[in-house]
Amino acid sequence: MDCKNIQDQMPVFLTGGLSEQDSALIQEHLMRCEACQKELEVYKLSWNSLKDWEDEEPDPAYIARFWNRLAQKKTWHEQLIGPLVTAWADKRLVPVFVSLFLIVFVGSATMRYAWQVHQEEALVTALSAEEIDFIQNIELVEQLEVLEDMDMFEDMDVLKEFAVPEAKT
Amino acid sequence: MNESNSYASDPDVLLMLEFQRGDRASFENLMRKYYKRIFNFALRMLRSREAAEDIAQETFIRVYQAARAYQPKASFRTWLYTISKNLILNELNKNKRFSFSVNEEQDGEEGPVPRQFEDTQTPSPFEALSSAERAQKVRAVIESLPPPQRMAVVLYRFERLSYEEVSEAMGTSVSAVKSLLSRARKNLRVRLTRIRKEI
Ligand SMILES: [Zn+2]
Repeated sequence: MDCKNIQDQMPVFLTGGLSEQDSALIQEHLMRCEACQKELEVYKLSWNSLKDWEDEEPDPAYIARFWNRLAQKKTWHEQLIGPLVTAWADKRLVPVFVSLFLIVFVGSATMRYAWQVHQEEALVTALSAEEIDFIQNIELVEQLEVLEDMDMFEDMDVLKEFAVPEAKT
Repeated sequence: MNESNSYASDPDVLLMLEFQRGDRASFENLMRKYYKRIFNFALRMLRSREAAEDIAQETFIRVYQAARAYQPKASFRTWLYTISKNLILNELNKNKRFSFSVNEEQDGEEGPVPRQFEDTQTPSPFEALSSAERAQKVRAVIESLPPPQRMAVVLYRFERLSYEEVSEAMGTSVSAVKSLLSRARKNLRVRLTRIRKEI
């Protein structure tokens, strides 16, 4: 490699992007070439001068600012749900969630059943005696129709045979 | 929680897990440790203190919001820089002056570096400048770098991340990071030398 090649490769060499073999070639060249040594120094100098741009201090109240900013971002349901989700992630609380679920599930089923019973009772008490009578008659009429549809009851002999042993007793 | 994880012994990860269990002080400790770093990372990428402060705040908001689902899969520090890198890219793209992703090759490379043996013959008066003046020059040179190179330099040189960490935070390969840094070194060498000459 000549000086031009070496100097072109220098930034890659400094970044550790060269193979061991190429790196060794450059190091060997640098041992005996003053021009390339100087070029290397220029590279190092420019890289080192970056330290002149020092860090700056942020606003010292950054933590307070953070909590304020967070509070502004959170909606009411996030504030409510957040701790719940955090608790959910905690496996130790699984039994708590399971029992909560059971309570809610069984509770709602019981409530629904109780509501239905209550509705029926309310309906019955709202009916007059005649209306109740009427409803029961409807049931009887329906059963009568069923009886009429049955072929075996059209044959009165069969009915009689059924009646005979009863008369004997 | 996940003791088998290799990051479980990372003190930052432990703080994060403590915060996950509801310890706000642990979160504040993480802020005390990293807020200034993220602020300076953003400051060197963007031009204003206000924008940098905003990025740093928003970075920790994201950390806070992600805490519930947080699992120690990577080093906390790298994760933090990744979050702020994304916010910084959004900010840079918002300004439309340049639209870039770190993987894009749009470097606006300088031409071939002229050989300047004569530069080193005379001691540079650059060092004679006040530190504020020198900082201003260096800042101007870094800001003149294409954003991907600038980000690699800021993360590697100023934030002291390893090549691997820079590649993880920038979402690119280690060889791409080395390539960005090589080109940045070349550009810095040319531009800082030019400034030294001008002085
Ligand atoms: Zn040479």
